[in-house]
Amino acid sequence: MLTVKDLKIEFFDHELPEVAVKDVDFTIENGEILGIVGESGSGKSMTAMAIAGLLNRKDMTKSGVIDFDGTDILNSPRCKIREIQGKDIGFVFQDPLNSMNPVLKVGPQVEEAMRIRKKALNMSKEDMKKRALEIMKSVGLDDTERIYQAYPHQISGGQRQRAMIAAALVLKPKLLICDEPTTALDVTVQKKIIDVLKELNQKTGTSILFISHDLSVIKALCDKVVVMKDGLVVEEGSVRDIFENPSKEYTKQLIF
Amino acid sequence: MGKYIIKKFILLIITLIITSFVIFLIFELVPGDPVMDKLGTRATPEAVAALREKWGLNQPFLLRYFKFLLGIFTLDFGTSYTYGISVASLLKEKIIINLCMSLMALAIVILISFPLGVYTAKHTGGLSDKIISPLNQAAMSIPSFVLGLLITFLFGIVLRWFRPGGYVSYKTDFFGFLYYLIFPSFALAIPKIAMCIRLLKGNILEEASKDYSITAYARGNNTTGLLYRHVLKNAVMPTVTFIGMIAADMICSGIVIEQVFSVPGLGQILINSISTRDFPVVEAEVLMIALFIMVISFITDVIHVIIDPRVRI
Repeated sequence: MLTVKDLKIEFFDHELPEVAVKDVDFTIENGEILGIVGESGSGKSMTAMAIAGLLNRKDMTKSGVIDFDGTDILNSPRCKIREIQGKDIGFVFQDPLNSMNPVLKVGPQVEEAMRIRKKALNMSKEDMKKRALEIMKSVGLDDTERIYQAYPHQISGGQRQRAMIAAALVLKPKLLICDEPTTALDVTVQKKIIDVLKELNQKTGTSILFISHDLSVIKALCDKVVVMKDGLVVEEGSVRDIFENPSKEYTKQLIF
Repeated sequence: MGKYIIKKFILLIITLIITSFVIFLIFELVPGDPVMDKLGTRATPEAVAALREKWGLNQPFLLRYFKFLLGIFTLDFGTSYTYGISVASLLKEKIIINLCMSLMALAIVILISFPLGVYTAKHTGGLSDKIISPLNQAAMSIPSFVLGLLITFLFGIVLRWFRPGGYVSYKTDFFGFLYYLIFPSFALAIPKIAMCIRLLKGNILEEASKDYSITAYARGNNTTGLLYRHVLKNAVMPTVTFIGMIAADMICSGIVIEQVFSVPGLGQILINSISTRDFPVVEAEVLMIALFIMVISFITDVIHVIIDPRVRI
């Protein structure tokens, strides 16, 4: 479903060009959960942003192939990528407080992906609200009516992240990209979010690209793992292979 | 919300009382005696005592302050020492002139800087940005009174859109009065417009690079949708605060500007009444200016509460 090949991202915002990501290859099949693990600065977030079509800065170059169900994400025009964003690819960011607009209520933010495509989807306000409440319930939010009407600062961190996942899932995307979605949360909430993602994957067959620096989270959730360091892929394979007999020194260091 | 506004309003009244006390105290402590100023140094002690009695200056300080405070709420500021008529009737027209001029300048600032700020933010690096930014820089660095002179020359003398010095009273022709005030208002507004554009543009760009904006992009928003649905509400808040602050400056710059345009506003009488120790007039004027500033900041506070749900307590 998603193929990344020879992905290279270079920045030109300083005097010397800076390679953020180089020679990254991997694929995600339908219903698969792929984890990318690596220390900060390893290029994992950049890769995720590139797949979601969110790298539009003018002072950088992107080369290689990101093929999402036949769409070339790297080279398609913005308007075409916009159709995919939110509909076929959902994105969940690290910090649920900063990734929600503080002055908008939670409900409209969950609904937004639908509202943008209101005409194409032919949905009324009531339909959208119904769908929003439904998806909010399915990610484990109780008291959905209250949260729908609340502002982001009025709900807890775990609720915010669930709401963000709901917002990403509202149009049943084929791929959900989670960029360190549990890092800003405490351990118990972290586990619950992982459970939500796992359940979602089993129930709906949504593929997940899960980025984390935390190996235990990756181990608990993913089928396959890509280990990255300094913008390069160090090792990739199934979770069992990587964890039981890592072949590269860096992976061993990460695990032990 | 209503509770918050009531709280702010009570706070406004308390601030007003404290300010009035400070103002009254300052003019109590200022050197110079209005009685001696009026009668001259050769006045007989009887005449001095009589005038003191007449102006109520031999009453204790707190009693006089209390009368002054009551006067604020009944808009009775006593009688001018110099002109012998009531301060309220002396200042009424001048206050209306300054108020109209400042409000008009504020309106101009809001009406021009918001659309332009949004536009330049949206087209950062484009041609319009390259034209507007240096113009901004220039407008910001020119003082209002110089702009006043330029406007008088260009629109008054060259284009003859108005007659310099030909002030029209609002009593005779209200629209003529407003029309005449447009020109000084622009002189007041232009530097502030430039500042607001810059502030707003900076804030929009800053908000547009925050996580929630990227999230909004990831949902398929285009730039326009992002700007109006997400960024603008967050980005206007510093500008609203700033506009509240420049309101104070409008009144003060207005005192200079009205000289340039020969508008019979507060400025001339303020200077005269300070030099003749006409304290009832000065106190009333300073209080009015303070009140204007307080009301504007009250309004910006209310706007904040309306825009930002986090302010509500």
